[in-house]
Amino acid sequence: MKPISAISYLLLLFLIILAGCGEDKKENEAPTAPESDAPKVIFQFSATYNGTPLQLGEVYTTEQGYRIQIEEMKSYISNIKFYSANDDVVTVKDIALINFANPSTIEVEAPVGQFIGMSMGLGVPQNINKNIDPTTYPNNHPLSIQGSTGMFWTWNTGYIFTKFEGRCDFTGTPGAPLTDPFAFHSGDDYNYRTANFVIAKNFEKENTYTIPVVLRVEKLIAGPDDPIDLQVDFLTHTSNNPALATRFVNKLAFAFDAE
Amino acid sequence: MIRKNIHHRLVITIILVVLVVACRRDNEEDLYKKPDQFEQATPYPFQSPPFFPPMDIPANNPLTYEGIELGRYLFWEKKLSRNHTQSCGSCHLPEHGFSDPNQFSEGITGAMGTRQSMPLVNMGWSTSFFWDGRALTLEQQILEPIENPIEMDNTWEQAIADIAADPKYPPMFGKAFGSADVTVERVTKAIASFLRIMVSSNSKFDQQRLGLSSFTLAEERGFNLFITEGGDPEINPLFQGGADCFHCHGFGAMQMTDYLFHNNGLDASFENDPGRFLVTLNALDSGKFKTPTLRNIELTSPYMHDGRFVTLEQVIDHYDSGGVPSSTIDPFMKYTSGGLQLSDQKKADLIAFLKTLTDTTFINDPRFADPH
Repeated sequence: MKPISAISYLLLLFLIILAGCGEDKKENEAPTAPESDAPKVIFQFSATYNGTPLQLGEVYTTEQGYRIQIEEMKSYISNIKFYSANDDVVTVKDIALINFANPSTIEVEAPVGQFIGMSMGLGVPQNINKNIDPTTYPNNHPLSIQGSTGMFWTWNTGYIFTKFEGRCDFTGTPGAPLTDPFAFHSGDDYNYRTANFVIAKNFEKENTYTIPVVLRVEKLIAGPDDPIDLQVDFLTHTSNNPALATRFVNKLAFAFDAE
Repeated sequence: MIRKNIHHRLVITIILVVLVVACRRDNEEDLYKKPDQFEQATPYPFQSPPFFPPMDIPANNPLTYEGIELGRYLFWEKKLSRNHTQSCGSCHLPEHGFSDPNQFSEGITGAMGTRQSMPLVNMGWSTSFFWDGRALTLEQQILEPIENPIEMDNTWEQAIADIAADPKYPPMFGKAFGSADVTVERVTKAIASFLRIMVSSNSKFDQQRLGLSSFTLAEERGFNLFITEGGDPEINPLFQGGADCFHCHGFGAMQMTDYLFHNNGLDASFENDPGRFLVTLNALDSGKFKTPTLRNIELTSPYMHDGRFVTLEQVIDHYDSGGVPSSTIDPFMKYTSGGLQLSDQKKADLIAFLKTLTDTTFINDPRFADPH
């Protein structure tokens, strides 16, 4: 065996130091994801009451002349899809919980192309409503126990799709206390609805598009089709008043505008 | 040959020394950047019990055996109070579900609090703390009682000095955090770690869920009342005669709370304590308080944010009444329709069920006991 020279030792030492200390540097370097050039779409969710931005606690007037105050307005939005002229359908968002108390946005990537329609599920789709234990989701997921706070009933009952709560004064007297509560908690698979919209969008690479989605809150109770009189029909948790929950979601499906 | 071997060993030793010296510089820089060296402590392998959601443990305060043990000592440490007479545990007694049997807790000066001491259980899953939710993390929550004049009435500066002067603590901080420095941040981190592992998951309710135990008929009836919509069906055919508890005390996550804030109809006005309003300054939050967990509810009398009810019977009578109307009373209180209208039998059944939430292994767990 040939003796190892001092120079060889120094070379070996140098190589070991280089290898040993180089590793850290590599680990510290954050991998940079390639910037996507796909079109970006920002959905801007907001709510209005008779054309003015919804303000929780503000007193509005219903078409029956009741004074009404909204205290909670939340809804699950799911399976947002775009439809192209040649019948291609693309899902760009699976599920989100929107609190309409304040304007909020969701940003998604969309495919390049021309789209003439959009749809949005209102509620939690059947395949994930009751079949999955919410404790299995990470806490930041909208269907997790924490992410769904106040929107999950209990085992086997699934999620509350939409919450609409507040209280009324049926006398319509300015300044009178609003003492009569209303609460609509819709849920269960048969109350899942889809809102459909006509759009005209030509999504191009590296561009960003905004789509305002506005909930017209007054439409949840008013309108020519089956108006809901809050003095008569004011409470449903779905299971205790399924008929009212269904009337409510039927109106909800036509209470959104998107363009 | 021997000389050659010695030569080789010497050179290898030199290489190793050079390597250690060369790489130590990086470590020293890390040490400087990160005052808490958790890697020197032993990781605590926390696992959520069955049917519980994952617990979010802050990345800057990982659970370690040493941190938890330090937290236990500090939780029970009277030197945190100005006159060394009260610890956190003084108002959170194990036999009372880590709550206070008195309506209000008495501070070190004799001053009385204004809200009932909240039970400490499964706090790692909570999203806010205090009855009004003003603290968003456990670490943040722990900051308050030490300096509150109606509680420990101390300054953090003094508390830290007193802890640092106790010879048992600097080594414990060293084991938990990598150096013996006693700081406010480290004290709160250690106590928060201790509170995170205070998990109750062995009540009869838990065992029943796991198929290890069965409810009695009364408990079963009580459970069904708990999860059934309220209201007298004779008043409104859509009412289902249940106790309607689950809307706020939901048990999807096994915690019997929705972590939200409600006005459950205790008062017509809120001058005495506006509750959540003090945090949000939103009039819609007046008179609202955090939904407490019902775990160990049998042990945590008195009840409500102001401890006004001594017995579970009184609590149920309150909900049965429908509550007192006010500008923010929860729509689910049946105050407009005559309350829940529960029979005496139903009330008794409901209490039988609530008692299945008692977990004596939790309150007697030596890991949570006073080590001093």
